[in-house]
Amino acid sequence: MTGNDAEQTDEEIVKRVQMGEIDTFSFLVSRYEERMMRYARKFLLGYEEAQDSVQNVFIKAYRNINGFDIKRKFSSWLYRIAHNEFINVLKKKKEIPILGLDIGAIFPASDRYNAFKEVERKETKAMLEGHLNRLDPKYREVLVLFYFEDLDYKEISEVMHIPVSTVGVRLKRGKEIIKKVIKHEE
Amino acid sequence: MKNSEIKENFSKNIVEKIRQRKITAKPRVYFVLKKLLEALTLVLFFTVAIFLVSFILFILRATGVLFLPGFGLRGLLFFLATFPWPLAFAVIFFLLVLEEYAKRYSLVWSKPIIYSFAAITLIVLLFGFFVFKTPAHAQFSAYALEKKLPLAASFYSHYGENVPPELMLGKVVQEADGSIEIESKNDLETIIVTPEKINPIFGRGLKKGDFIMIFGEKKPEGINAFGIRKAKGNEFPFLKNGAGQKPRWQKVK
Repeated sequence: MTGNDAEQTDEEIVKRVQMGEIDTFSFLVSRYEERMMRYARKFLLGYEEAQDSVQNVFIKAYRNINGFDIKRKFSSWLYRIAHNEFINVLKKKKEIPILGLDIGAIFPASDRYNAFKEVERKETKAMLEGHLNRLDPKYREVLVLFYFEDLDYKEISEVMHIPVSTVGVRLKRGKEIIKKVIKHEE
Repeated sequence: MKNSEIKENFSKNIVEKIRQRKITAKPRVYFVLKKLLEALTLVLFFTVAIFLVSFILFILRATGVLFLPGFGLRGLLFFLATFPWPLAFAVIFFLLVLEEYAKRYSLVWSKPIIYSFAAITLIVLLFGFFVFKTPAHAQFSAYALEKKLPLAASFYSHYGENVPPELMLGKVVQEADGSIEIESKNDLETIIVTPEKINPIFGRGLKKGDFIMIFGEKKPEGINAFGIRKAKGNEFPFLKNGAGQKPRWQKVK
């Protein structure tokens, strides 16, 4: 990647790919490969699955690149593809029902989960390490995206296609479950 | 192998597949057509759901079943027994499908599902009601029943025939001392009706020549009416014993 390429935004690079400069797609892969691998490993809880799944994510992203609206944010779009891909993997493993009703997204949820400080974030992140496998995928994913991928509520809402209030509720409940697990272990 | 080398191999691997045409990007026209198809499917499902709602209302009205709850608890029970439940479940099915389709749009998934489902249901019910209020179904059923549209004809007559025998239509011949004599054109006989209850709002001021809807038991000595209300002669095309006009689906004796 040249200096100019590194300065270009994701959306500018996508535009170049859409115009036929297919090699420039590699810049996007390089930028997001590590993040996608981290997301996959923490959410799917398996390294080999993570590699194959992340490769599929980028393949699907390329296949659908002409459907991407450059006015949108590329990272949200890519994370959305990754979310769908990882959910399919979990459905095949039967960790998630194929036809599931998301009860938490049916009714309005009161979001009393407040923004927190950086110190608290680091402590929570440390707490989550090693215990993510104790969580239901719907809580695990939200915690991974928030604490490890540094996405905000709105971005997580766009990735998972759930209301912002539901994001807050799931973060809160996920943390509570982990705390109970840790307490029980002590 | 170093981390940076693994990374480089990963992106090289994908780009190599792209170059070798093992992975190809879908053309823009694919996405345009896909969006168009999704929009058309959404419109189709809305249309079917609205048609079903309007049809249910039409058939309840045309058979007189809509007025059964007005005849008290007994009428309500008959209403529930006669209600076209399979069609109602079909409406619910289409509402759920519409909800699933609508979830593709951020306006829908960014809010709790209950809001979008309520909105979709309200739209379908409102438009269904509007269509019901137009003469569309009456005209379409008449056209279908002339056997120009055999499938549609059987659809209308199947639900049109689903009328409890306790619901009848008649024309007032004479009224005296709390009983009403009515004429039922199909039976070509005079029946004495002894009403237990005349609808206080819709049954007032009955006089000779009025058409009435009777909910009651037909016995050899007459009809034991649970309720009576005024009706127009051609208001209930699917009610048996239609006074004034013979229902077209009935065979000529």
